[in-house]
Amino acid sequence: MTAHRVGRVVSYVVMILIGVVAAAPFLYLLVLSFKSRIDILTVPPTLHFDWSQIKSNYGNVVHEQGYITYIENSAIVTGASTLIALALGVPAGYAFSRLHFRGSDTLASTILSFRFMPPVAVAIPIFLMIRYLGLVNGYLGLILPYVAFTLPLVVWIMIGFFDEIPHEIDEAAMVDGLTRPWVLLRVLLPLVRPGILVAATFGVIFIWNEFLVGLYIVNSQGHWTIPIAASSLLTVESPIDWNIAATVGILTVIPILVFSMLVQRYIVRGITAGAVR
Amino acid sequence: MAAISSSHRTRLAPPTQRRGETLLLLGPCALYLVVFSIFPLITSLVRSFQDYDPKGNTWTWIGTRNYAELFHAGQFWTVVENTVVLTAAGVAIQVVLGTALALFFSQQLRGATIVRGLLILPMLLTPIVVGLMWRALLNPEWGLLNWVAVKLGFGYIGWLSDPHVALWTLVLVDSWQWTPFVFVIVYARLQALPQDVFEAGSVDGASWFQRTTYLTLPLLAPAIVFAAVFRAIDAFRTFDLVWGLTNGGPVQATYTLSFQAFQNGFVFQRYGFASAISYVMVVTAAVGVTLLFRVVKVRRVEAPA
Amino acid sequence: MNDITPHDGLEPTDDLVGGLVTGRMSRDEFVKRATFLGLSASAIGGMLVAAGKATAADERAARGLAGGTVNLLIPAEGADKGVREKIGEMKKRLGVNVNMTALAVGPLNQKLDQSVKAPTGTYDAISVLGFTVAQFVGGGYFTNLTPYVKKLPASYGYPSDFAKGELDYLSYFDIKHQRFGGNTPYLIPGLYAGPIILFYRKDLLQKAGVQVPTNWTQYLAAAKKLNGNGVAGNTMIAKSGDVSMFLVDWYTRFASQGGRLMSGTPQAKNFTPRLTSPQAVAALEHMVECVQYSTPGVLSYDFTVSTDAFSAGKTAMMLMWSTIAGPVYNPKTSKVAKTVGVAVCPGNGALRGTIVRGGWGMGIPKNAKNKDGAWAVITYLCSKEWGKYEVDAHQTDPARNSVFYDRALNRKYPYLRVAGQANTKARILEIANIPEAFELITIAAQQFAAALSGSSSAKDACAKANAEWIKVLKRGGHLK
Repeated sequence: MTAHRVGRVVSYVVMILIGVVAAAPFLYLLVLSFKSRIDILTVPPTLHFDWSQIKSNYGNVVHEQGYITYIENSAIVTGASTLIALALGVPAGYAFSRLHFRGSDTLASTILSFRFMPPVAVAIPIFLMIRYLGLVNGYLGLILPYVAFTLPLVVWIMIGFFDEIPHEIDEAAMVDGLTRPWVLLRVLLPLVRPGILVAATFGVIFIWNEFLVGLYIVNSQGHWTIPIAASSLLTVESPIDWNIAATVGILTVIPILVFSMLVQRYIVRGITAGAVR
Repeated sequence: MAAISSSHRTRLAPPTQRRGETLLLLGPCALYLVVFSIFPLITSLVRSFQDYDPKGNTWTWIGTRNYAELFHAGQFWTVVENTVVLTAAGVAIQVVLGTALALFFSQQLRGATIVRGLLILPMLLTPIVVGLMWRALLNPEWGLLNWVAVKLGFGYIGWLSDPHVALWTLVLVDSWQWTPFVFVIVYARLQALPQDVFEAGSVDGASWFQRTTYLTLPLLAPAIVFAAVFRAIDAFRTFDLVWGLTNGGPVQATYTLSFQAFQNGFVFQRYGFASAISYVMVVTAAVGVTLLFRVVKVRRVEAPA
Repeated sequence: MNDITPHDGLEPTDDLVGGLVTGRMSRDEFVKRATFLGLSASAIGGMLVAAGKATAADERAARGLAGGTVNLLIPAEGADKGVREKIGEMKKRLGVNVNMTALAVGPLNQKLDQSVKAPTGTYDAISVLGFTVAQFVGGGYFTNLTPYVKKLPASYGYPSDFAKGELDYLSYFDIKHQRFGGNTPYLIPGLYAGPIILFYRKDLLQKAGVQVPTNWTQYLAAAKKLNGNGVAGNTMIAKSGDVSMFLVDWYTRFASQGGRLMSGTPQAKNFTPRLTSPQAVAALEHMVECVQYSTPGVLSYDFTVSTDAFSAGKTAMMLMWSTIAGPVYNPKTSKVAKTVGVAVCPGNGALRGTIVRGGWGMGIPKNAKNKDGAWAVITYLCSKEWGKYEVDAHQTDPARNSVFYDRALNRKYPYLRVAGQANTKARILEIANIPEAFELITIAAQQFAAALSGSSSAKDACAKANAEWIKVLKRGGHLK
């Protein structure tokens, strides 16, 4: 075997190792979700599965724990927040890409810097504000802050994508008598669709996974999103039913995983939209 | 209507209309953020100078006492140290590993697409679930990692119980989750590099190592730096991992700024004090962000060629 | 169900209406029994109308609410399952729709805080943790239950069925003097009491010829002897900052050796901590020695992990809240279900079994929308009937003596009697009456963890904790 071939073999081994390391914790959780509680306590860990146990675990979470409700809530909150964030952020991205006026750079930087605010810093005042407004019992209390959290990222991504569209297109449309807002609506929106999808993807992933602010804002259990419900399982004061917790964990991430597989290219494009200029 | 210029941004409309357009396009977004981002930040600042009484639901002005308490407490330096270690070590590992991975995947390997897909996985998972996974893996009694460690002869490791190890465990988990992020950025940049540069290098007889060090890495530098600063700002804010895995312990070994703010605010209900801690974080984050925007241009200043 | 003989003082409304319809119960009798159930005049009127026994006044009342909604806030610690299972029952018998929210302690306190301070309450019936009673009940946010309680028949067992300490902590409060006790009730004790008992492995103790320890010297000796062969002599909650470490493992040793946590009172502004007292240091030192005969990972043990270790058969002894007795005794979740034994915690002589008082009480915030409905739900959930159901179905621990000592239940779950004894002897935590209670406990648990991990001596750790406590107490205005 030549050095080259040894190198190839090593590379394949390394690659498999990488895959294993990346996926292992998830697979471990999957295995846990198949077991009975007492089985989990056994060392060394065993791998035999009982189909009825699996059905019981998942059945428990889906039916008794109200998982369906939580999925609905997550879907509603995520969908609404993303749509609103897009409605506000796409025009703003467009404006920053095309229009320059005094202070526009500072304004853009400020808006984008909000993405980096420690959630704890805004969680407390936002929570106090939502409480004051009496919105603690519904979707609105969650949607309003979530839009605020997602907006900066949407704007950032959209600026990048609008920048890639030549100004000439705008100008041609404006010669035809359209004002800028109409240019955006009629002409550019279809062109910048990939960008919108990227921004939407990130919005969805981020909002779906949010729990800290949500946990403290939403009062009624019927309005919980999945991560909030999952976080209530990580309490310290009662023995965790590990198998149930694992099942909840798996069911929490399955939607996001499916979604991500469908939009894989957008994820990559979105991350690199910031770096590769 | 003004004349059309083909290579410059055009002022096509009279100023008042432009202003109107700007307002329409930017207005809603800016207004929304003023209400839900700026206003809370200002409130936070104001609250940081006050004290909250949970019983009477009242606020009283106490000036800079919260900040004084924060900085003079013996534990402040422990907290800062923990936060810095978690951030710096985490970012360093993620940058090195992420870049290495990007370079690794630059070679043609069958099935690489699948593995790359798996690699993105950790970033997408809900942070609580990440915490849950690792809490299970690291469980002192039946967790997989300790079983493996014992089998391999390393003996029992106090991942979350040993004060000297706990912080590094968090670094490990954080790196597991976010190295893929660095990888994606650097890899994309790598793919975008013009190939002829490398051709020239290998024709000159340079070894792979030399090519990488003197050609590739410098070209990748902007992406690497971007990823590093971005990650640093994010790692600085880490909360979910501390909450899910260690709760600040053992013996405050993983007590970070964001956790301290959370605990004082949401657990002890000392909202004023928690706001002060949060504000220290905001200021630090602002410094970091300014740095980031020096490295990355937010908007293209020139029109595209 | 046509029999109208009272069952434990709580007659189902089926019986009532049945009795009314068949003529076996007079209208007056019906009204009396229905009123105790907390049914509002309109609900009663409605039932009377249904039974064809209504007077004109009753019919007027019936046109009021029929079947309101009650928003319930309870802890997600095991009893929530029993509550959820009885939602249908409550709808049938009490005519109320119950919306249950079950949360962990932290978020629950948050929600409680929000709800009682808002103009209208989100929740109508709330479980209040003993440690927060001084804050919320003392702050005047809860309804005085005296008029409701007066209508309870003696057979309901309030206050006779509850331990005195429990009533003083989780029922009565003296708002004027900001003290526990008195005779004005704001809460009814329930869903569970939460005493602490000693769990041990009967088989291991027998094999090693060790008696159940009755004092701490014996405990340490037993732990030493039982340690080995893959089993740890004992475990404890040693996770830094863990509230249960302070309450379960440290306070038990402290109080049962005669320790007094504080001197003075908040009102007199001389509320001084005594964490440097001999009993305090001795308690911590004992824990440090016990750590030697524990599992390697004990320093990260919280409630969950420690219990799991016992259930997996890795530990010979542990002190724990009796609420986990259920999972430990259940063969489906515990490998040692058949050989678990329980006893009162060790201590010095008569002080043996002294533990901190835990538990919850249920009350109606002043801004609740549906107070009558809330009262109906509370009387149901704090009743003997529900208590027995919950213990039988989920093996959490009850709040009432009659359930603790119920013969039938004890045959199935022998830990109940012991828990009942512990419940009687429990002592209210001396700092439970100030809002900084949680913070103080967390601080102490952090400092103690330093001693447990060997990075500090017990004496130094106690001194540090004491100094931190003084700072917090001064800040809170309880100490000059």
